Amino acid sequence: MEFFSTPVFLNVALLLTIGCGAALLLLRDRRMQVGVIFTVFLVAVLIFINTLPSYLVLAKAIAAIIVTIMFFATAWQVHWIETPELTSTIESGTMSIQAVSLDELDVEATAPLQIEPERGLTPANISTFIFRGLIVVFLSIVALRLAGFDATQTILSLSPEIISISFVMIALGIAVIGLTEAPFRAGLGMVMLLTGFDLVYALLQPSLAVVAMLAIVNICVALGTGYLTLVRAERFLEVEEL
Amino acid sequence: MVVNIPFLLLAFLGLGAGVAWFAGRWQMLQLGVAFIVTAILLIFTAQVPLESNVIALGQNLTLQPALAFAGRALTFSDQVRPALVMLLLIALLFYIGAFSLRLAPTFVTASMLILMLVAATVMVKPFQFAALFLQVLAVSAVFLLSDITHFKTRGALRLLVFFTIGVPFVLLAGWQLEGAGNAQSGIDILDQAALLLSIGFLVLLSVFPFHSWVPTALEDANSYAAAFVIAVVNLAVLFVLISSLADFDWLRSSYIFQNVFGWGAIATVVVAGVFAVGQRSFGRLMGYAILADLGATYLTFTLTDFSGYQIGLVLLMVRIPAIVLWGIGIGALAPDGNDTFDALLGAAWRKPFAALAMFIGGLSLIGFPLTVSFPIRWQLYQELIVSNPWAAYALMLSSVGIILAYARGARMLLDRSAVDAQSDLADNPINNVMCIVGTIALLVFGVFPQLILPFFTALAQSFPQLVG
Repeated sequence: MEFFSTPVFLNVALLLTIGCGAALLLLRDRRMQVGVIFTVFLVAVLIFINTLPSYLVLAKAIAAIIVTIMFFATAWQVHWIETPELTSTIESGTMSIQAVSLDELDVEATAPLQIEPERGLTPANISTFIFRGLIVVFLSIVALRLAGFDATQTILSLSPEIISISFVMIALGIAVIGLTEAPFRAGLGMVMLLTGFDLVYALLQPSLAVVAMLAIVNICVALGTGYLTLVRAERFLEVEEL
Repeated sequence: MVVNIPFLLLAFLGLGAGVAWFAGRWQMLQLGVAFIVTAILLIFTAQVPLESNVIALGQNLTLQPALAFAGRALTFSDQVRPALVMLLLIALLFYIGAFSLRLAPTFVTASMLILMLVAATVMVKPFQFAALFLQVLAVSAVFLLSDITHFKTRGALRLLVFFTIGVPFVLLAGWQLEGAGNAQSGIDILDQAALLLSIGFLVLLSVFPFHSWVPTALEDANSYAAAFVIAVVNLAVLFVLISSLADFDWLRSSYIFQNVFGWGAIATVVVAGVFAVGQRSFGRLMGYAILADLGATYLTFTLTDFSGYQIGLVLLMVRIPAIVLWGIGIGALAPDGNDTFDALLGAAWRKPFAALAMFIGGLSLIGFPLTVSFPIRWQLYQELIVSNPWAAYALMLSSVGIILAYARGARMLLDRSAVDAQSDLADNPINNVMCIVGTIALLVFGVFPQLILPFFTALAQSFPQLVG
């Protein structure tokens, strides 16, 4: 168990966190997104193993599993991800929609469906990919720089590696939230942000009440964004049946 | 028999929500239940004595003011009593207005759950645990802001995002304050806590640039439900802020809090006025008008004397009748939720009372002369022009921007070219009566403020932590 507090593990965890943030920003497959958020939770719980009493770690692990299941169930309810080759009859004609993601479909009540460009390595997709990749790099550098300040270390009085992982999670969580209007992905971003905050806060305030409180907040976020995802998807399916 | 006051309050609200849920699609029954429960609790909250034996229904009852849970406590005291009275009064006004509208079946249930959470937020100690209730509150609000008929989720999602970002700041501030006992670093820690609390409250109180959920929610969601959410959620956060200001004298006089909050409030007022001018939807326009009014309320918290807080609390209360009247009006004008200027072309000729109610409600919110908010806005201008003239000018300019936008909306509503011969006046007589009564009430109270302001002022003064 000591391994989980060694610099080697913490550095691997930091790289894994950056990878998870990048994956949440770039991946469209909801199965993989749920897997990514589970990995984020796993990193946090493994860090807690040597820093918190075991009953608190257990409570956090249970909360993480519940939240992951909630996201999994939501994704399952809306058929995972991009719905390929949807065909919808609008007004006088039939239009084919190539691999439209429920996330990105901006269904207007009165406006016709907008046709999304075909997925694949189109120039637009490549530029989005590069843009989001650069954001991950930039925010990770900023978060690591902030975590390295003496003032930060003095105020928080925690291991620099844990602060770095926490700040990276918060920064990339905010990036995920900021770059989407889709409730599902935003929910994952919010949970990543909260997990980053939890990494620091649970070590500063190690009590069952605080753990329970943060678990409730996480579950609430999963519940709220799950509901919004279902509302959007319900409407989408209605439009599809037109 | 022992009666626990916080438990009784929460249980009644929860029970009301449950009954409303089972009442399903019978909206009148749901609203009847909500009205009765809220009215009974309002009287109970205003009158109930603390820690005493009372005889009711032949039983000797011992009233307990505190409910302990998980090492924390929900406490009913003279400090929280005015806040709860204000909350229930606001809810009652919304439920009365809702009788004339067609709302989602979940409105009453979700709104009563929200009231329950706000009541818990107000009563919980220590204050950082209120943050937990605020987060749950934001999630409950999501259910009011989005449903299958209002499937656009932007407003609800932004509300959830901003609360998720804001809550950690309040929690961190709580942690900082627990460490403030350390004599060597006490002052530094207080400054850090003030900064964290200021940022947290800026986010939670929809101060610019965290304001975007307000106009978006009013555009995307059912206008009346969105107005309820904005009014009540904002009230909950303000109560937490007021409670923090009361508990921490250093926060009230902190230059960090004064500066961050003061500039945030001015920015909100300016942005609201500027953005309002370009709006072409009454929902979004109302969103910016509400933001301008929120900015005005926040400015009162930067006034150094206690009269500022009282003005802020009265502003909070006079805002509600205006929002309710606007909601009744727009609910009748645009029952399908499409409240753009183009969609409502000439609508004032078909539904004149609803159009009038919407305008009077909207204008009252920005303190237009002869409306109920004007006297208290005037008092605020007098205070600001002495202590912070730029804030006073910003507030006036913002009001001008909103009036210009309403003038443009009025031109579209009164466009005769789009009028068909059919008048919709007979469609919804209850709505017409409410629009007429509400409009007259707002104007009468505006012309004769002495009829209502003493009540609001007395309620504001009953916040003991602010007057002494």
